Amino acid sequence: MSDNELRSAARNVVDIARSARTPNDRHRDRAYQALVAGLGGTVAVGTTKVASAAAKVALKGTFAWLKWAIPAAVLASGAGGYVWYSRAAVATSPTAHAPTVVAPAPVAPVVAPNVEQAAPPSPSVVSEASSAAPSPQVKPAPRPSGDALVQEISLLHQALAASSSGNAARALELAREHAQRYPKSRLSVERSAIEVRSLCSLGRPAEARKVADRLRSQAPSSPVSAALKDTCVGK
Amino acid sequence: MAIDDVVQEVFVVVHNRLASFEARSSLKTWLAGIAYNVVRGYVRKPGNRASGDYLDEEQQLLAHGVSPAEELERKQALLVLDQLLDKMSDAQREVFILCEIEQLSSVEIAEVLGINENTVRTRLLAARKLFNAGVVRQRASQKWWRP
Repeated sequence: MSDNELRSAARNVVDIARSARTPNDRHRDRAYQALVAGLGGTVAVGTTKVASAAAKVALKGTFAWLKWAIPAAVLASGAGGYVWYSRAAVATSPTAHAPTVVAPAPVAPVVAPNVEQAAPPSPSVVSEASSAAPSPQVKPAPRPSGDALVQEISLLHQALAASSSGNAARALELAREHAQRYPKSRLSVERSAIEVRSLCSLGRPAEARKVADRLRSQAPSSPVSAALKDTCVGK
Repeated sequence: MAIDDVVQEVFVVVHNRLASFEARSSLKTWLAGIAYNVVRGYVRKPGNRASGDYLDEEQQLLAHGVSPAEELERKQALLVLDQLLDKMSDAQREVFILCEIEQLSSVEIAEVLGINENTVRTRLLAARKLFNAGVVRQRASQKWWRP
């Protein structure tokens, strides 16, 4: 097959990932409630927190992929003018009633960066938030490289396999090796679950309970937490 | 977290402009255009830059109504996807996400990004080639996909 389309394995990855990051009905409902409650009323210009914190979780799911659009937008807008939305601009701009929002056609007037600096503070949520904070440089956790990712997942699968075959000692050993090598892993919940099951199998309920408590506080709503009910730490 | 504010701004803009939407483009394209412009505006702000960080609540997004095995599979897919997206150029990643994740057509993507449709296709081809090769390499390196 040519690269005009994704191959089946690649398609599988995309499909699963899309499904995982697509808000479910519950999230959609929360987002809807937030919109009705917050945006449908008399929201003051410049109000930064219209939606509740809980609703924002749902909203973020809707736009999870914005994180990738951000660097893309840097490149796309590099040669262009400064584009910004604001409530005031929407109200006064002659383009505010333009029915087609093709991205390059901004709602707000295009303002050169140097002009923008001289302008009064924008009431927009984003500009307010970004200017209020002194440019916090959030440093994301390092992502595993390709080989490291394969090794990490492989190690966890070995632990799973050992656990499934009844070799709890080996499963525990591998889970702890995983914890040592990947302390900030995004699969730490799954790893902890393996550890709990192994400790239970080895007749070490006190240790298992400690790990389980940590897991539950870390991911209280995870199905992994729920799946521990049938172990020695189940309630 | 930047994404909080960006998402919030998108909804504010959508709310403000919804009455003026006359359906000359699809609602999806319209929303994508707004999101794109808000993000672009954010990034152009001095001091702002892509964080590329993970969602704090991703655990919650993933967790609803799935089994532990399914959750593990999903997380693996997300890890692989994130890693391969990281390898793409910004331009490739942009069209790849809009097409493969957001399911926009090349015509719609061209409309949202304000670029030629042929440019969209060229970038998409390169992105898919990179993605296909990346997944093949992952699978060949280790039989990780199914426990």
